[in-house]
Amino acid sequence: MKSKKILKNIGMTLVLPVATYLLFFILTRLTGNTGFGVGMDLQTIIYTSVYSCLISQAMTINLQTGRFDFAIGSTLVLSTIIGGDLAYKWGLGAFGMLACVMILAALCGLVSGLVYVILGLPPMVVSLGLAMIYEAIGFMYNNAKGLRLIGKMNYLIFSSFPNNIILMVIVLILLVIVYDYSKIGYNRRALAGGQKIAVDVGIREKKNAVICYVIAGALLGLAGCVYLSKYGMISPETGLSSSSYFMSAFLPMFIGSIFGRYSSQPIAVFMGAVVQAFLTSGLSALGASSSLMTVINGLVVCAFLIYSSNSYKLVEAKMFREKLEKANMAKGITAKANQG
Amino acid sequence: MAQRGELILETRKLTKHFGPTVALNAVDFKIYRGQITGLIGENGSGKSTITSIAAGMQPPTSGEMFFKGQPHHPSSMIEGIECGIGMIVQEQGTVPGISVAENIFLGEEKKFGKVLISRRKMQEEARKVLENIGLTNVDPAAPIESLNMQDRKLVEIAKTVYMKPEMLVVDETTTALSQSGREIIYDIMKKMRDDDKAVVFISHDLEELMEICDTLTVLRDGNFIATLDKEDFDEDLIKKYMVGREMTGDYYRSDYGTPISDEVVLKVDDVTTGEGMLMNFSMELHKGEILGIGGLSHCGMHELGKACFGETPVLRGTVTHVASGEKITTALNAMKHGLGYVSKDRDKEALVLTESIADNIVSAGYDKLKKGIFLMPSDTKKYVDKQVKDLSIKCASVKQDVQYLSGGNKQKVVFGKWIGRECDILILDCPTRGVDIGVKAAMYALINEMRLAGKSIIMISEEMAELIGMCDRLLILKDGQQSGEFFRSEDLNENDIIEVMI
Repeated sequence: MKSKKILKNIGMTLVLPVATYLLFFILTRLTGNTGFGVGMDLQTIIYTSVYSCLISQAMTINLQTGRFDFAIGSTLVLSTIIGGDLAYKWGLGAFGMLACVMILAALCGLVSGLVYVILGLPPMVVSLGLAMIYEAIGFMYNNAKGLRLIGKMNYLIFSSFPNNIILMVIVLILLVIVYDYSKIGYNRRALAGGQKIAVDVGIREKKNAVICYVIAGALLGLAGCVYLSKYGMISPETGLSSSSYFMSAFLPMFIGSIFGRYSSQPIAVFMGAVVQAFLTSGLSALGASSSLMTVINGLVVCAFLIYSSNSYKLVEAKMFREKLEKANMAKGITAKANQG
Repeated sequence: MAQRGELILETRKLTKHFGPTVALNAVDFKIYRGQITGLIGENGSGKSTITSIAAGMQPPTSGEMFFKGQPHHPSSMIEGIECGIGMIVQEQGTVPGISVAENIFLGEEKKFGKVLISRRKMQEEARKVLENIGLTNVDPAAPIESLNMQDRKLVEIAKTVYMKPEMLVVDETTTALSQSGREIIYDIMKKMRDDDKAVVFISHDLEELMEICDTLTVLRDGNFIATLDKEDFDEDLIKKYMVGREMTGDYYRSDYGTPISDEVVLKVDDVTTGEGMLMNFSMELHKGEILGIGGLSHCGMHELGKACFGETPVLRGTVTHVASGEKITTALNAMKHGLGYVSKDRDKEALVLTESIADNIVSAGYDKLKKGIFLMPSDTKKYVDKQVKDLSIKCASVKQDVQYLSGGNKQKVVFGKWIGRECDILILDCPTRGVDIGVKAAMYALINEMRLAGKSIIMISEEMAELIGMCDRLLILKDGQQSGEFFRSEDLNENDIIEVMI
């Protein structure tokens, strides 16, 4: 019984990525394209999965407790520019850079969290204000040049295989522990389910919120390093254009919220990121333009939203069928009794 | 006088103000060990206020409290629990999105690991906690939302008992429970009394209080009125204390033999609903009739009310508004044909708590009040003021948020919504649930007035006395189907009904 349940959970966790891969594999082979899902394309898929998964995890941790953080993109940009620059100037190497960027991003998260709990303003308002401030600091730093490390290969190690996957596995293990087996995770889920009741039994909502912001910040720092490793540079953003950094994070988050019950939410979010990467790469291999890809991506996000909002109807339909069968049986019994 | 145990909680001149409203007025109150103390009073009498202050849910405005002889001023529920006061509240106290075990040990996870929490240990311990109160059919690993309302309440009770409080407050919890659930909570209270702990039991059900409690304290309008020992319990005397006037119990209809019109206004034909138990059910409602619907919890009666108002999916069968011949399939359709519906779940399904009294009353009457695309403030004011006056809704202003009204006044606002609309058919699902005797009497008078004015009423209720006292005809449901029909008679009694109900 238990092993059956485990098998079902594994199957449900993998079904969507496997199905997406097979779909595009067949479609690309039918059109004569043999590049999808192998070689360089596979490496791009892995990079995209890791990068969007990290941002999506950072978004999910706050959004599920009702806090939409508009400063996600600006935190990533600011911490990567300053942290990367300092690490490079101080000659700290790749892991030193990773630590610098993560610490700075976590500090940005700490500031975001503290401002939110101290001011008591809606998270959207607070994060919009902070996004502008972070963008402005990133712009002012280094005379708006951002950070260029092109060619400094000893610093740019986090986007290539297998480093990116190792990084992802470590992050996922840590997140599963935090989400499912730690007090922080328990408290976070309780606050997401019923804030007042959770607070009444002593769960400290503000402390938990600040911790979530800090964890989200650290994850964004990691995402920043992966991004920097891929492109060798990062430019400052202004006018809230940093929001483009998290636009790809929605689909993994929605998939994570639907499939999380079969494994653990961080794993399901990663699976969502893999699905998105297959989708992007597959459409590209089929020759879709970037506008068409955006439209299709949007449609898939809508499809998942529609499903998650209406999934109860499937259960309901089954329940209704059973109820009608029961009513028919009862009717038969009554009719028989009347005849008798 | 009953023998008292050690004094555990004492309040001296305890006062609580909510703005200009005096919820508690210098109340002196004592709770002793080894006793179940009943607390009774009309809505807004201060029962929940005094216990919630003792449990740390809110601070008093002035006055003193002593718990086990020591000054007591908890600043939160946690402090209350740490002192030894556990409270089971009226509202749902479980958190969705987490498991039964996680709900039981909410805030106590550290017991199962300092860094990493052992789910297995937590679930094993949760199973013991549930078994301790006799709840053996609940899986500790199951998500809490997979449980029905009663089991969720029992999980909450198990959690409170697990904390081993010295004093347990049960605040109108039994209304949400069936008889089996009630038995569990009665046993817990009795066991605590036998273990020399103290229990405070708040309920509107006087019969229940008189049976379970050792002493009964009556509050009225925030004032302490009297404490009675078990040997002095007298229903009429307690009612007199509660409302400050004689209440002999005959606040139901006094007419018998009134003929029911032949004119059918609403027809339910072979209805099976998607939700609940209701199946293959048929009935007819006549003009000027109060049709009572009764049964045990989960018998399908609440779903019947919803189906008549187009509020729940009907899998088979029809509900027909006879005069127009139209089928009722949606609430909008029902309203168009003069139907009104007072839901059992007042706070969630009948009111918008964060909106004003005026907005709530007007909400069902926009189509009656609108002039083109406009609503005239003078018209809406007249419409609202009439309901507030006719129903004697106690409020500082019609702009006051409904959430701050007492249960009885909230229910009057719900009635006002539909009466203002001049509905011809009114479906009342537990219309007097959680309201005090004074408001109940006013509701019954109002329902009778509507009947005399030719309105047709479906009255769904879990109180048999109410159904017998108010209805022209009574249909009893069992397992979703009609199991009995009774006509208004002086000889009709609860025993006749119970026979077809169980």
